Amino acid sequence: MSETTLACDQAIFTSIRTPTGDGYRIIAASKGLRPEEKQTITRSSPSHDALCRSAVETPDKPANVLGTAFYPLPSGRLCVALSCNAGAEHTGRGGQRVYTHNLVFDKNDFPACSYNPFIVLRAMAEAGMLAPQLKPAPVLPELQLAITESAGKVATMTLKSALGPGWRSYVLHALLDEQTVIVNIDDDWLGIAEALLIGVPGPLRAGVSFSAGLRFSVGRCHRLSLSRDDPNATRSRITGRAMQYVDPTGGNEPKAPTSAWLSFVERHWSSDDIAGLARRTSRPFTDVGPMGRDSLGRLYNEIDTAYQTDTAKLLSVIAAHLNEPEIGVETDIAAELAVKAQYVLVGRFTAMSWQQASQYWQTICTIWQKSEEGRLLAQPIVEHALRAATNEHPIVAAEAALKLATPQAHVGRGSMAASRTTTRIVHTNVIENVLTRMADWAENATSAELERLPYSASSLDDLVSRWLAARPKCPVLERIRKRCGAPTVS
Amino acid sequence: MALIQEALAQDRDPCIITVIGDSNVGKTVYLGMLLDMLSKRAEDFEAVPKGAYSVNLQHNVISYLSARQFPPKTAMEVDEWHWTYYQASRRKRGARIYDLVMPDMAGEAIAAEVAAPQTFTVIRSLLEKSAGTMLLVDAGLAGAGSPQPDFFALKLMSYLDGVLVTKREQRMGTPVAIILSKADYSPECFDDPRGFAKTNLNRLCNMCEARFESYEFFATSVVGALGYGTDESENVIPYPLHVAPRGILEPFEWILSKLGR
Repeated sequence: MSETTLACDQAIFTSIRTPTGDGYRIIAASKGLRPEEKQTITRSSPSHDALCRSAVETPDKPANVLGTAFYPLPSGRLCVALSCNAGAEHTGRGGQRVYTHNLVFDKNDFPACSYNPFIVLRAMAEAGMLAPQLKPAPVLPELQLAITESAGKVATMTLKSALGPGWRSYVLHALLDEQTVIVNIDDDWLGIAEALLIGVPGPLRAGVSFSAGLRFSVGRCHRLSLSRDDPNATRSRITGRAMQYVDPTGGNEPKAPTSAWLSFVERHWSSDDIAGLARRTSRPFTDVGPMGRDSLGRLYNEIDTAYQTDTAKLLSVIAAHLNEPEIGVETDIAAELAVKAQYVLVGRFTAMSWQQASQYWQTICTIWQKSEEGRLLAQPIVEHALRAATNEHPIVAAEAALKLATPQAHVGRGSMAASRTTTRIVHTNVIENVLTRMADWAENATSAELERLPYSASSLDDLVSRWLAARPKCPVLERIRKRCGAPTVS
Repeated sequence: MALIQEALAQDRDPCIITVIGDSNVGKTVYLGMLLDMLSKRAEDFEAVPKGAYSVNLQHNVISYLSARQFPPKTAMEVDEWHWTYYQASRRKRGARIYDLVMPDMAGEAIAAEVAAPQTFTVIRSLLEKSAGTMLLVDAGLAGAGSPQPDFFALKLMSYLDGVLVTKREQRMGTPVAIILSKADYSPECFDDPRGFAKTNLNRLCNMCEARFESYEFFATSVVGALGYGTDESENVIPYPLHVAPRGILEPFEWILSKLGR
């Protein structure tokens, strides 16, 4: 992620005593904050004793816990809130004062933060916002928050111990299904929340409000709440409401729902590769509906399982990619898959005999002839296959290459259209290599060898005639024609 | 939810009495103490809690006071508030039974709603449905010359006026008991609560006279003596050394008398 700045309005919500008031309220805010935004922030901000205590914490020795929330405001802007303890509650009625620094920014700036509110949170921490300001000026300036490279780094996270595979897939499925979920977790709410959120496609995340490390409250009503609460009390609070309570600390793991997207995300979660998952899911996808997600999941799954996929399937993946219409970032992922398939196929064709390679030759030729992009993708595979054919016999390679030589009307796609000239050169080189070897062989072959051509080639004259029909002005063919006496094609 | 179901099962209209006031004015302690006294059959009243959740507030308040501490601050989150549902009546044959629903709201939430209506819609909704209101004002602060209690009470009454009165010329009929809490700091207000209010809460008095038909001032205190200490952040912490409730039942009795009419 490149470094950038995020223009934000800010608001501080905490409990202090002033000559005009006492208790929790917005004690300082930027001028740009609208009244309805302040109302929502007031309603959503944590107040007395709202920060969760981790399982290792005791009331006498509170850990340095953090809480966070992310939610859309009525204006359409987004709010990221970072909460921490700020000393003892000043009224002396026990507990710690909760201090929350809220940043409000435009939804259009969200993609610059990789659709990840935790990047904003890390940038807030780097900017020193974990140090409570209990006597701020009542009007805060608009902030240009530096989103640094280090803030953009997603930490490695092991989900397994806190949230087993069944639980996490269940929660992610519920989020994608636009349900409201409360998850009871003993500790590390922020890390787990980020890992879960990363499982949601980037463009959908602005709609996934969440809180982590804050005690559950119906009033906040976020789509995802990660906290440590008394399960019975929470269940009682949500009775009759369209909310799901998930308690991985007790009970059996649910059977995880299945979909291509879920299995793609789960593979990253189970290998603790949250950063890799973030890179893949935080892209400006065009279609993030259920069908679009599944299609993306399938593409990523095929990329990751390319080494285990059989050759015919990989070739069909490339062919399918060439047939797909060009749609935003999805096309790039399909291209990524095609390149991965090409890479795997090149490795396989390097070691293949022509007998093995020939069964895929027709598909390879189809890809080759499909488009400029097809030629680029097929070229290294073709070279290896033709090398295998040449090893068998130069005539076999020539017979095979003839299928490539037929000129086609090419339709270039996107960036591939620019490389049309390159593919023409590639095309010519491949053909010339094959024909040169055939010419070398023909010039050195005995008459008997020329008459007994291998395999299906009927006669050298016939083969050269067909080649001349496809490449009438090829000088290499002229060399062979002289040797075998095939007629000139005008 | 349970509260609503139980109230409906009684086949009587529940009578909501709302306790409002600034943050740290003593709403939780007053309400907890009131409910405890009612359930202990103070005076000639009797109150039966409907559901164990109703007892939580008084249990909490009495337990903390017994331990010489004030109960924890009420959080702003609506689902953290204690909701109580009691059946109260006078202890005589044929006395009317009141289904009293009394939520213990956070002062900050009330302040936020007053400052920007619709921030906590539940407060407005409760006030609209209230048969009576208890407004707590910190007599200790007011007696010490702070204008804050007067201004906050004025804002609250103005809000009530806006919420409950539809016509400009109409005066609000819902009874409002203005409870001068922490009166042990200004003992003179026990002798003449109205006079104390006229002197120290003049803006509030004028507002009441102008817009409210039924209101009365009451002085109340729960704690007999206080000790002070400091916490690790150098905040001054009051400790209730002993409990000496005074003037707790009178506002409640007054509201019931107005409801009975």
